[in-house]
Amino acid sequence: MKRLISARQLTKNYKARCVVDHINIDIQEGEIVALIGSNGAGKTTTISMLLGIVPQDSGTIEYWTSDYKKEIGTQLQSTPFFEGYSVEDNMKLFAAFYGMTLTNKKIDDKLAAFDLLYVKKTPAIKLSLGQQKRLAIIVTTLHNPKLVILDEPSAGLDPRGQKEIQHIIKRLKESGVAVLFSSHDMLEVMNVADRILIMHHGKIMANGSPDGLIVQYQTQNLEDLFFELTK
Amino acid sequence: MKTVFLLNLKSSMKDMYLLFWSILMPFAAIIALRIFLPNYSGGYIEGIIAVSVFFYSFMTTAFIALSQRKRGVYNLLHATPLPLWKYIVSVSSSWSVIAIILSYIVLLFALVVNQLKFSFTVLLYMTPIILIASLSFVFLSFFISSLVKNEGHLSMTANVLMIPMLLCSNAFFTMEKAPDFIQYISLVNPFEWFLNGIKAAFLNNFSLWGESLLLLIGCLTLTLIISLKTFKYSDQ
Repeated sequence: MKRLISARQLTKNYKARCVVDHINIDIQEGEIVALIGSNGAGKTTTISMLLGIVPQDSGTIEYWTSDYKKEIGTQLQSTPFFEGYSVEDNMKLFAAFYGMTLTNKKIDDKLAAFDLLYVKKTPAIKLSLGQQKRLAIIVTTLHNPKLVILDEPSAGLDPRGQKEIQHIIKRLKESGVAVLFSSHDMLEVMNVADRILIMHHGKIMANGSPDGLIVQYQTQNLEDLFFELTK
Repeated sequence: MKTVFLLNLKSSMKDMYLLFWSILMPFAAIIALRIFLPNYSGGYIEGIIAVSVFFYSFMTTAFIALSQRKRGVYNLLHATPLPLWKYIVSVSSSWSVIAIILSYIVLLFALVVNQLKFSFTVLLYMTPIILIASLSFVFLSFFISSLVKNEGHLSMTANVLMIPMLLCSNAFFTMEKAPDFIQYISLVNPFEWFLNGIKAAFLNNFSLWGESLLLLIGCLTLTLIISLKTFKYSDQ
């Protein structure tokens, strides 16, 4: 498998506080990687550095392509959309950011696939949280990226919404897209991820497959493993 | 760029700030001047158009830019391959097109209310002045919105900049009797250059028009550089 991202000794400080502390991350083609950790563990900062939104203080990030922003799809934690723009117009706008023009058929197909066709003309910021998360993933995949990075895609959703997000992540993998997502939900991670990275106080505490790590650390389940490594 | 321009144009047309600041306020001013100062009302058209364009291009867009940043969309924009200058130029151009349309509407209303004659050469010379000035003020609004953290700060900061620009110009009072230092300020006041450009279009004064256009192009270049250098993607 081809390596898409290789980050080495990545470090970020906010004033005197070290938020991300000399971490190494690799993401391979076609795999689903979950970044798990408590609030303030450094997940969002790590994701922001991988996306090139926040510059690292030290360390290196190597991408498989020189124009990586064209090949990565992004969903941020706040699922922001442009105010005053309908669902359809937000899709067209984000596609334009990637140099693409969307046809009406493609918009309808995408929205139908995510059960959002009936809100096509609705202002995006007026959608429910679950609808916004689904729309964010549509926007993330408009340009057929090789890698999708999702920051807490299921946060704040009800169980049905969480299940839908898991299903969407699995569909992305089936279509050959690698996914890096952050989460607090151990069940979700267990259901979806090929590999997990457990983060605590800016450090990577464990890196491996969920089952492999449970065996390695001799815990009952992923939740126990998480508490063991982050106490 | 074309899609970003067109979508922003469509979205901005539906903005309520636009309706209030840029259409209802000038209309009210034109009617009030017609009622209370009927002999002078025709002479205020340039000032009303200039103030209307200034308020829309500066104040309204500053609030929109701040609101989008606070929603986090600029952070997402940062993760895309679109260069920042393309985004700023595209959205600013659409706002400037709206400013031009607004100026036409205000002009038409003033002409009808005051029963004045009209020449198309006025539009021909007024349009590039409004385009360049409006773009400069939009770029300036990006700069101001990058300086502040919330709407309250923005309102104060914008007023600190706007009020001196308005008062140190011939929009409301003649500068001839103003103290010397106010007159010096008016010489380096982009709003005064804008106002002079519009007046020159009405008076067919081509040397003043050309001078205003050149000064505004300089202002445009400077404000574009400042807006790009200071652009804030997020509050973090």
